[in-house]
Amino acid sequence: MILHLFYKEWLKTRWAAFFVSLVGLAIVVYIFLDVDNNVRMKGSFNYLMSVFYGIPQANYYNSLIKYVPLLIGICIGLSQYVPEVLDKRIKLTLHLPLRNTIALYTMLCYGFLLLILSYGVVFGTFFYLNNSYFPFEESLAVLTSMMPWLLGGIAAYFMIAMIAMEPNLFYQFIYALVAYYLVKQFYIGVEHADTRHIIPALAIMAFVPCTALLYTSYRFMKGER
Amino acid sequence: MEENVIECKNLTHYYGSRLIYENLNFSVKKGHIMGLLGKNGCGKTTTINILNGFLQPRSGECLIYGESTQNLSPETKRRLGYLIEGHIQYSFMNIYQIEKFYSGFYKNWNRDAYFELMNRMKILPSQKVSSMSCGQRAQVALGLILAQDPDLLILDDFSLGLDPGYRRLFVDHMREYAKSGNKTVFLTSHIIQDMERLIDDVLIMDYNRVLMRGSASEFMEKFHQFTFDLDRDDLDFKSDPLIVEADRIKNHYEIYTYASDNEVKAMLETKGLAYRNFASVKMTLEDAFIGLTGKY
Repeated sequence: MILHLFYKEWLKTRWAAFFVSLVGLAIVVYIFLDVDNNVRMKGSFNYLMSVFYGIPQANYYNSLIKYVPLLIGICIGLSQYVPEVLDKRIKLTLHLPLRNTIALYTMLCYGFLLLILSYGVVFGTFFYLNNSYFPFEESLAVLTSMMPWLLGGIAAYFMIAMIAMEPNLFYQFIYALVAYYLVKQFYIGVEHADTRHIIPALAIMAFVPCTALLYTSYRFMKGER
Repeated sequence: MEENVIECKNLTHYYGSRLIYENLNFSVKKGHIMGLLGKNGCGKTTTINILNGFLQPRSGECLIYGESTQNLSPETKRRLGYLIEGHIQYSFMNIYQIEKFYSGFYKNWNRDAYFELMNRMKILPSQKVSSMSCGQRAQVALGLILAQDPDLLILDDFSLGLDPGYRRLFVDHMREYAKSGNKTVFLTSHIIQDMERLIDDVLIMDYNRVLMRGSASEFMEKFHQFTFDLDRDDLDFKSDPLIVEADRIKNHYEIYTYASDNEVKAMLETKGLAYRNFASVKMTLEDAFIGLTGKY
């Protein structure tokens, strides 16, 4: 049954996940075309130094790629939950012979796994290309610096799921405001920062909204208007 | 004694401060088809939502196979077929995909019943639900219900948006399915003439109250429409305890009552009214419904 539920989710999200991953890959390729050019012109060491010293044009990873996780989270979330919200189709899922909580969390689990898969494709490619130009330690440091943005995408996805299940428009608006300010915290930018110490806190912030789905789905089942 | 498949006890519900109904009681017996009739906004979909566990009543409870609808087990849900108002289905799926999806949830899934209906309707497996007409969508929903083979069907306004041909097809299939398999059906519809061919029992609701509950055929036998002419054109029979509903065009009167023609004639004579052209009118269920609830 769980696989059949995954099948439904896959039918909804496959194209959105494909295109958003493609956009992410295009951005990665664009970044590394630029990196390649700089490495050829300046040499790998000199270019890396200009990155470390914070020359804005040189900071290849703090660029458009920053918002790719957010884009992935939003696209997967919307493609998965908008069809369920329209005409209250979620009733069909909740009518299946499964416990409601199991049905809802299976959907959420699917979306999370797809998100991780999309991250894997885009940021795996980024890591691979980065590793081919720079030392492994630098690649790891870049990935650590990106971690808040990746968590931001996860938070956005969970918030969309939570908002989608809320039956009251006003509450949806309030949750959307909360979501905006919550997700914004993941993208407060500094050129270079050691983010390792805040990652656990950000991870908690990213995963807490997935428990709020219990509350909004309870309100939906109660028939709140 | 026949088993109650649905049992609703003392249901009371409000939307905000607006009362929908108070202490509503009804039950549906195994193998019976019950139609819930009522004007717009009287609480038909509210009742359907409570039955499916999508709405918690302010007080009272509904039981399906003895389980509270607020907490149905997967086993009971498996025995329950549900048609959402407007034949809503997963519009992003095609005919083949939707069958594949649902087949994983039901042990007795009968894919042949589904594809047989699709073939008869000339609906291709690759056709997407979103590109279908309302009538075709209704057949998909019906096909899925037939394949699921549920013991209890809950149909919310099944005739919405369907032309007469599709309505008739739906009703005939549903009746055959329910009667041959001793299935229980609880349904609502705006088009009451369809119900007439389908239902055994009827529950007629008005705002905040139940007007009639029981066997549809008994109701049709006991409830009458009489017409007559009087000299006067200023009388209102609505307040008479014998009369359920009355209407008048000039001096031509139309009354609805549980009383017999003799009782009505006696009532008119008691009031000293000389009637002419007294006639009993044969009613359809729709006429009876209008007679019971009024035209507006």
